[in-house]
Amino acid sequence: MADDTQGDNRLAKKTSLFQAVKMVLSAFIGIRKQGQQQELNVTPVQVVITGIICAVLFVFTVITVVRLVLGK
Amino acid sequence: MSTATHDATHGHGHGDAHGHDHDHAHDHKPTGAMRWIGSTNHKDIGTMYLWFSFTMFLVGGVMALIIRAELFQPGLQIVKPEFFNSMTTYHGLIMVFGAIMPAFVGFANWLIPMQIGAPDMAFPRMNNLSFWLLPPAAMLLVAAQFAPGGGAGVGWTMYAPLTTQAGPAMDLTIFAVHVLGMSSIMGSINIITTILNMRAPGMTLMKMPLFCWTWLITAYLLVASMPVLAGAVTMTLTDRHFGTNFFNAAGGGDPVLYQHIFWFFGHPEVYIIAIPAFGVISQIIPAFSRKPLFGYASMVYATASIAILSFLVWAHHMYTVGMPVETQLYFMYATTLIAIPTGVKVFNWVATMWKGSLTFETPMLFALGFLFLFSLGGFTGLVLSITPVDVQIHDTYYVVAHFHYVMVAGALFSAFGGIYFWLPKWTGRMYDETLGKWHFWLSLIFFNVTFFVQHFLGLAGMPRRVPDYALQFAEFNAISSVGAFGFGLSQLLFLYIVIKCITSGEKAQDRQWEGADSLEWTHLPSPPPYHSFVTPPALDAKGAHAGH
Repeated sequence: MADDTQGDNRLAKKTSLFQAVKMVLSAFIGIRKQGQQQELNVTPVQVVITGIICAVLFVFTVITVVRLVLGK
Repeated sequence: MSTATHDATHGHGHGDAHGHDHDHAHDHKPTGAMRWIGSTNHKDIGTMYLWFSFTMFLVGGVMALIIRAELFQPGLQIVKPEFFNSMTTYHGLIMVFGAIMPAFVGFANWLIPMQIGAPDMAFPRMNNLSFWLLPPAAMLLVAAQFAPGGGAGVGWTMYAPLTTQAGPAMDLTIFAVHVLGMSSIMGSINIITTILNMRAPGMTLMKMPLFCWTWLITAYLLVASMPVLAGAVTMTLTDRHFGTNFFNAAGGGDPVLYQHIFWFFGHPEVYIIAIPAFGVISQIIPAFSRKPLFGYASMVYATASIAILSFLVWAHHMYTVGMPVETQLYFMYATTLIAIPTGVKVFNWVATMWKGSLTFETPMLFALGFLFLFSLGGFTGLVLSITPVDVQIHDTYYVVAHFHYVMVAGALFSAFGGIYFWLPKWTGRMYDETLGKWHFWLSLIFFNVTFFVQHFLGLAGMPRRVPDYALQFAEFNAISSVGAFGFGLSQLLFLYIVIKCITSGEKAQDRQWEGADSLEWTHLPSPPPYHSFVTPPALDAKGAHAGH
């Protein structure tokens, strides 16, 4: 496990925030490009933090849409 | 490298098989009842979970048949309305907390240590306690029927103010829910710790079989949501006995608050039941398609996403309580949107089968039944997510039909498929394939006879949780009741198949399904030794794989 974590950390440096966000968003929809493998380079901690932030953004996006629809 | 691994694997498998031959001589496990009462063995505890859940399935099933017998004809023939209400309540509670959830915990106990190459669960004694909390809780639920005034006819959702006015049975029910919640939380902590800390060297998280992933995610959902339910029923308890007014409008409280708290638990609960079912299906379909699961990584992340999003949509269960239109619109949009990742999972399973070398043994039949009927339940869920539609059919039989498609044809069919799939591994014996197929087709047909017609009843306006109904609903109710008794009797066939398998089934192969590639099939004999993977298995880069 210890070796795994170090390996993950080295790989994580190569992973940009953009990639993590892209991965979480594609997971929200549930689809990905064929053969897309970069998600394996993202650590679980990155996924969880990005996922929660994206979930909060999702809620506010829906609330904004609702307000637009109601003309508030 | 590959030769060495092969040798190591072979040697290990042989060692286990050898160990099994002398299992009884070397394992100083207690015999008789004490083996089960004091067991810390994940296989014994898994077996107890599964038998317990089947017992509760029969108890809850008898309650369902009492409901359907009364509804066979309009008018009151068989039971009193109070008893009918009690039956709808405890049927729901027993099926959700006593049958389906423990069944999947049973799968988790049996399979997770074997699939990740661990010798047992992380906390074996707590595992024992998790299980042995269940029978007292079940007894409380059954004993509630005999409390003064009879069982609490409050519905499985236990809404205030019914619960604050119900008789002593309500206190037994609240305590039962507390105990069941404790059991679930301890089981979840055990599963999380086992998966995160006890994987064999080389078994990285992304190499785990999807079943382990779905349980890891489910365990987090349980830890996050069960305390909310415990809080809701504790507030109910203090409202009843200790002078608080959380849900009492006369004292400044709000009954709608209860509904918000309950469904903040209740909607994740739907996924607590569905996600392990997804995991079982994700093991069965690749095995009988002879292809790896399509989109393993995206399945993992989509499952995690569904889990997070499941906390954001709870009030779609409460469109009719009088929420502002803004709130209704938010929950409607959010609910329709989260149908997308679930829908894509269905496409992933179909894509797994695409161009596969398919065979249709009983586990695969149940998996396909799951795919078809769970999708139908998902579609009716989408219909219900539209606020103006839901306002029309809220609390009608349409809702009853919807969630039985998700819970029975979804979770229960998945559990049946999983039991047929792993029974050869667990018992070392093969079930009767012909009878298994009979069980599937009888279940499929009678399930639809029972519940498909309830869509029509709901659309026509028949309310749920009523012992009597208007004459125009008579035909469909009669059909539904016939289907329910057929479905119930079909499950006795299942019991016979399992007992026949255990007592006189043909010897199963170590890898009964050649398409199954997780460790319990590739590295362990059938049945596995009492203590498996005492030393971690030797895994090559591919051997541990389930997904690619």
